[in-house]
Amino acid sequence: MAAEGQSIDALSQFALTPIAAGFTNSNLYMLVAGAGISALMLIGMRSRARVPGRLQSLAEVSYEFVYGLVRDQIGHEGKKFFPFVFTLFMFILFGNMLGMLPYAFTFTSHIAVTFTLALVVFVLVTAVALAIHGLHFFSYFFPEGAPKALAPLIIPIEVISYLSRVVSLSVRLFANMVAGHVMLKVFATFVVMMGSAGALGLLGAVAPLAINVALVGFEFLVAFLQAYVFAVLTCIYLHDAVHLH
Amino acid sequence: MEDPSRPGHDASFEERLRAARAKAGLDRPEQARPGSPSPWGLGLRAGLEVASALAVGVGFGLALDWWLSTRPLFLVAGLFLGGAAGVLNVYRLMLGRRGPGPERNRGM
Repeated sequence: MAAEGQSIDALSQFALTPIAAGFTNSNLYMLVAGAGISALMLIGMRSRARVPGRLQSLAEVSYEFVYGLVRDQIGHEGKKFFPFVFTLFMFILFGNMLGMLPYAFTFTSHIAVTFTLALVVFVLVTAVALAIHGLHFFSYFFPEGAPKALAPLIIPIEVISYLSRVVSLSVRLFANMVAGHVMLKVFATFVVMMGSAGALGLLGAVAPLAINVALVGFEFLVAFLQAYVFAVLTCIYLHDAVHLH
Repeated sequence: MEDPSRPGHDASFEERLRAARAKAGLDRPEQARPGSPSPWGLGLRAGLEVASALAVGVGFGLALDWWLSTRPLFLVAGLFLGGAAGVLNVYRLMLGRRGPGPERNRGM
């Protein structure tokens, strides 16, 4: 599958394959991620040890990491958004990390998935802002002290800027995951192609193999970092919604 | 035994600990923290902000044109407004924060 003929097939890894009617490998890995998160929290916290074991440490560290994030970014009022941000962060993190397993499918590499996640964030942020500030929320689109004559120019620009959050939030996660997995596949294909081209090729295949090893490590960093960035930006948007400006 | 030549002998335990950690290289410099923007990351982020605002502007323009059949009036307006919104996004990204509030992480 790495090198069909002499061409590099880097995109077939993102193909959806139906498992049952209307249920694809993407859905399967979402369920696996959900089950994995539930297992980590439920089994990890079952012992409730004062000195935590490995699994309990992992559960506590992830809880405290997101809790600190929410508290620092949104402030005291942000605590009620913790369950949402935690769920979002863990879901994306598990999706990214599951994708690093060989033969696994990365559901965060589909724009449909990341866009839906970003849309959920966007709708929640807007609903929170409307619920807290009512119609005063719309003053967000017109900065105080700006001349009234500029309103027809400023308001569309601010609205587009506000709406572009959904696009940038979803494209960032999607593009990072796709780019990383394409790079891995391309360099893996180089290894196979050169390795099958005689003794000299076998020697040359060491270089792309070394790059791929480095890339795998880098991709683990990206997998965590992108989940973190998604959570941080969600918190920043929630902060804007709670405090307005 | 007093040794006045040792730095920060009178200093608090925290300060001496910090000096010792710095000497042993245990405290990594600020830039090495994960999540801090590299020039590449910041550039890509800024580009994405412009591109997404432009996409929303052009998308709105095309949708309005399709609805009111005024093509290309709103497409042109949306292109310029989207570009302006993109510049605004980059400005806010570089500003790092907007108004009072907790310190924002920059360049995410």
